[in-house]
Amino acid sequence: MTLGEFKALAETWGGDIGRWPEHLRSAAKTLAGTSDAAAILADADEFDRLIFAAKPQASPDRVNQAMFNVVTTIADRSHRRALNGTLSWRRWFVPAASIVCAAILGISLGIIKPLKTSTQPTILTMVLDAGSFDPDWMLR
Amino acid sequence: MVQVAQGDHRAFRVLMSRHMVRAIRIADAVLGHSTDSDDVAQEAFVRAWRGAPSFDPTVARFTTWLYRIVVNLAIDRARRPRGEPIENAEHIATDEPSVLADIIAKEDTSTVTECLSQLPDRQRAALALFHFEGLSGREAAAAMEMTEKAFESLLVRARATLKQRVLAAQTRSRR
Repeated sequence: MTLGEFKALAETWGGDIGRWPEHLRSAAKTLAGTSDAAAILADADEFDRLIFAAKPQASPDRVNQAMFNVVTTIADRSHRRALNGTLSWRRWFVPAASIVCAAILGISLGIIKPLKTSTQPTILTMVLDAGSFDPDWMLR
Repeated sequence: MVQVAQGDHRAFRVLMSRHMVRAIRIADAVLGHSTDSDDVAQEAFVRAWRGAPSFDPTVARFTTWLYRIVVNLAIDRARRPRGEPIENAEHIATDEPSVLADIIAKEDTSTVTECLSQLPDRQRAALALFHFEGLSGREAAAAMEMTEKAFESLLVRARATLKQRVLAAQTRSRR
């Protein structure tokens, strides 16, 4: 590993060789013993600390509030989903029940009606059966 | 996570208490301390709850999976209201470590925070995962759904750009 490569790695991964890619650490540690490499590491480490100083903080209150909001959101969404499920069940129940009732009524009428056939002629049967009358039936 | 997948609310609360703070910090880092970051962290956990049954621990660690959700949500949110900042990934000619030392000595974190907020979203996410949360390069790359090599170049650009901006800000304030 050259000093240039060492510098490039320090600029990428920072001043802690322990956080560099594993396969590079051994060679880097050997080179880190030289004064030039040590200076590079010190600079990188300084910059690491500068970055770390800007680490955002989240107060316990904020975290607790966020957790509470998650729980209520989940509860709210699952309640809404359950409600939607119920509504969709009601949506198909009425038409399906209507079809079943109509079918039952139709079958019942089909079974019951032929048993109550009337012997009296109706206008309709007279018209339909006109061919069966004698041709001189009006003269009689 | 197995218990969470089975709908165990108590296990989910334990999971939240362990990881919510990190989720908020990552969202904060990407969104520049926006109030939206709380929403992002919350939505990430709601999605984690919903997606728990399909989570496969043999494919990824829970933290990597969660951070991926947070980073994606935060980047999506960050891109909504504002335009892309100009990315400057040029190598820095001079390091001026003494200037950086001055900034640290003064604990002038607001300068760094301000410069950090001007970085592109993905660069902020890379710095947050690697520096703030201490993930390894491999873990951070997995959380950002990219190769280790791609993460490496993203991180070096992020550090170089941040350094350049911090030094420029310091120079301006000295004039």
